[in-house]
Amino acid sequence: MITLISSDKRKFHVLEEVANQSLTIRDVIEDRRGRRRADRIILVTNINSKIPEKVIVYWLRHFLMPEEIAHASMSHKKAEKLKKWEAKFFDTDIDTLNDLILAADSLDIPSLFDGACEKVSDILKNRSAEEVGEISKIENEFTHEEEEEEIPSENAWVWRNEFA
Amino acid sequence: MDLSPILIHSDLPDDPNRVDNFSNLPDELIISILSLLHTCDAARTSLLARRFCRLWESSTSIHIFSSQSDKFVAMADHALLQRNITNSLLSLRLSYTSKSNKSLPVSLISSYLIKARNLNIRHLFIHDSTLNLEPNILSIIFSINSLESLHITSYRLYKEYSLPAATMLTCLRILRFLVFRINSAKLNQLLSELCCLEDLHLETMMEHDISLSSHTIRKLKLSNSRTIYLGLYIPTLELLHYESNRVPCFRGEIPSLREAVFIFDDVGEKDIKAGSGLLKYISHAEKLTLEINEDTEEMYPFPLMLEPGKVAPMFSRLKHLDVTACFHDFNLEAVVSLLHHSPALESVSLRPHSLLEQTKEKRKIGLQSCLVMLMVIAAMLISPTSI
Repeated sequence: MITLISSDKRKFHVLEEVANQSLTIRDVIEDRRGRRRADRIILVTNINSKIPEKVIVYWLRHFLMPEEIAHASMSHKKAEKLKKWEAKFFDTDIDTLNDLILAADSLDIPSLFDGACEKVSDILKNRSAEEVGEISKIENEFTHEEEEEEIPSENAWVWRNEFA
Repeated sequence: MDLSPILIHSDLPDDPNRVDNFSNLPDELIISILSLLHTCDAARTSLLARRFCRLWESSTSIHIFSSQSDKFVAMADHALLQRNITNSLLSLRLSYTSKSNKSLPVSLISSYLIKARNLNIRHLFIHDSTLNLEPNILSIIFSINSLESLHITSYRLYKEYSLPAATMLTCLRILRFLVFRINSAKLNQLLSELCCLEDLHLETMMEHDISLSSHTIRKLKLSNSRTIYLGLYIPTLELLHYESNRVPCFRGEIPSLREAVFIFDDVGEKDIKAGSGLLKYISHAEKLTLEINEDTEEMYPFPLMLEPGKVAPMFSRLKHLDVTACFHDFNLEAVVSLLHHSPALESVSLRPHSLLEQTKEKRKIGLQSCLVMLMVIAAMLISPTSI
């Protein structure tokens, strides 16, 4: 059993086999195999308790059908089911997605990382800069002139509205 | 002994009151998100904040997609030609779908490809309905020795063209060629030169009689309409996907085959002989998917998969069977025979063609056969060992 501790000091107990999906955790476990139980505590800073919950849910779902995803041996039905499940899993606010990306990056979970990045890029697709700014709540720090003239003129082809 | 708990964290300060969604992500993570976007969308983020001004230029992929030549050229010029050589580029996707028949100048395409070669790209996609695959364009593509996957779609090609030597492509694993026509001798020459090709997808017109040989291909997808005799000499082949409007006579050896998918459209009487040979050829597969759309204009129904009275070959390893067809008497008999000769079967799915589209008489056939089929499957489920 592995214990993950989030930044707000909540503890999460996970089976070693399940947590192994994180390459970082797997390496750490390999390094410290055979040592005392205290070693099996992993502190995950920067991530509030909501995220480990989600990550563990994701791990459990993938643990039930590991590695088959890449193989042709998985039936279409199962693949479709997993796809549907993932779509629902990633259908969340951009805040959570960002935390998931951070978590997936530091814990090194490639499939979770790719899935979350793809979802964020889907949200940004075909949107104007203003919309993206609104979604991501990035503060606009440009002066009015800069916004109106300088930057758009740098690569004018981007701002033409027709997109086909 | 080190007893402290293991710390995993990213380098950023933990601030619960932050409002900004992106600024807390490190550059590399933002770049991996931007890399998933079309270059145009990615470039629009330059107006978000100062930090984003130059960030999109480091995206590891360039995807230019346009139907207007001036826009396409402006995008490619900025994103590709002016790209700093130190910024690594993994994939380049050029999609040009002009409504007019005017193609982009060859010199322009060549300059993009040469730049891509200098950037050591690994994945190249060219989708251009107007592109003429001139020898010099092909020879530049075939000299990019960092390439791992290559997709070319180009339908404007009515004359045979020559394929340059591909000995430079030593890392190429995936090749997709969706072109108008290709000569099989040249194709075989190409296959013998590609030393680690694993995945080949061809959608093209070929001669009536072709044979393909390779010692590395594991996945093969073929779509073509004219082939009557098809020889496959690929000992490593695991997955075969074949789509056509006629059933070819198969020959050759594919001993490692695990999964086979066949989709046939408009098959008629001419295919009967080849059809029964087909089952024999792939009888060692573990998973078999068949989709048969019969040409109802011809003598219908007819025995395509199995000649009446004959027995199906033994499918000793078949675990999953998926058949989409109209289950008239002949097809029904063939499927029943197939089921009887598959001792290792784990799952079966039978999809009758949408019955509503067909005439009343055929609908009756369809419904009857569905009932029989259900009974057969039920019998199998009750006593799987006795069959």
